[in-house]
Amino acid sequence: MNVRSKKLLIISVTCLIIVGLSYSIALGQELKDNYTNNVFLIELIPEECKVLDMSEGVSASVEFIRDEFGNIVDKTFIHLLAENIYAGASVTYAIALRNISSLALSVDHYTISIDGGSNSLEDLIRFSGSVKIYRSESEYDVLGSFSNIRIDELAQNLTNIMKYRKIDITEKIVIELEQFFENSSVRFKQDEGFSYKLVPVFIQYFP
Amino acid sequence: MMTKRYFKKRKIRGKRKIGGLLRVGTISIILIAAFSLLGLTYASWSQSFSIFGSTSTGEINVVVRNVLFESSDSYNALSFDVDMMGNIVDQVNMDVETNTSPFNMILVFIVENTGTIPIVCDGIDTNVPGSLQVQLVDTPASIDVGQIASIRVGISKGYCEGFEFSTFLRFVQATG
Repeated sequence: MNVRSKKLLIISVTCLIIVGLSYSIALGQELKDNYTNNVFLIELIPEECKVLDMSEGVSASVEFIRDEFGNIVDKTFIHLLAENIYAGASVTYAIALRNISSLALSVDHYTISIDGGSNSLEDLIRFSGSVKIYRSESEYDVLGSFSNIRIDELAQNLTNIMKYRKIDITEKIVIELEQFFENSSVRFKQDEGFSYKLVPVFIQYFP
Repeated sequence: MMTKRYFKKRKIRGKRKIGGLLRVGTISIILIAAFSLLGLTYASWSQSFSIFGSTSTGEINVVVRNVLFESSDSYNALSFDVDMMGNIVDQVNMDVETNTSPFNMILVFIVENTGTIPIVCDGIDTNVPGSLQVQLVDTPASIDVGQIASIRVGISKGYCEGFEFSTFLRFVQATG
């Protein structure tokens, strides 16, 4: 075999290796995306997510992402809506989740991000609530509760309550969350609003 | 005989060495692969969840539907009329001829709560605080959404000519 043929062979082999590698990377990425996009460990129970209580005059609801036919398309997103709130007003929501995977799960952590046009509302909002875990429809344990905490303490409180607790297959979690506003109309201005995003991260349970 | 045994021993020792090396290598590879898989599955089998909360406050909005002249000190002549812009009061014109100074009168502001929360009037201001006295005489404890209410305001002014002023009723959320 002469030098020219050897060079040609080396280049061809290198090209083939690169093509093979890129194919493998693309396939692997696709496989991972499929797993992470289409497989859910836990999802909302829409019919059990509701407003339990609200002050007079307040307009509150829970909303989901729906398609044009009204079907819920994403059971991992819930919008807790509260409008027309005022000093002293409160809203209580129930958020129900079920472990639909074939794995025992636990909460790794909660994160919260606050998007507030005004700091005054953020300072005035307080949370109380409890976390229950249902082993069956009537049998449940109260994992923990919290009372009168600020919004920046909410994620840590929920993490402390739920971390390391095993959520077995088909078990249901119900988070009752009351948000209320301090009764100090002096600091309340009109046309204010703010939003927050609370994100629990569920992982496979490791004893 | 001795030579035979020696070769046998050597053979066995050699086999053991290669076998041992293979076992260690295999176990290492399996362990590395297993830990990689463990990490991968840990990363893959996690799911975040979004609870999005949004909150907005109620709106305070009040319009003055009418202004009525209720009572005053004695006067020689008095004219009182209200300029409207649509069905909202734009301006009140009053011409008084009197010997009384300061001259006191009570006006009634008819207001409507067009906002979204119950309100209460907690004061009145004027643009000329030094030369004019204004005070709330009577106001309801709460004006509900859509409700029309009367707010009685006392105004006191000394001698003047061509005097123009504005008053501002202050409203806040009704609590309790």
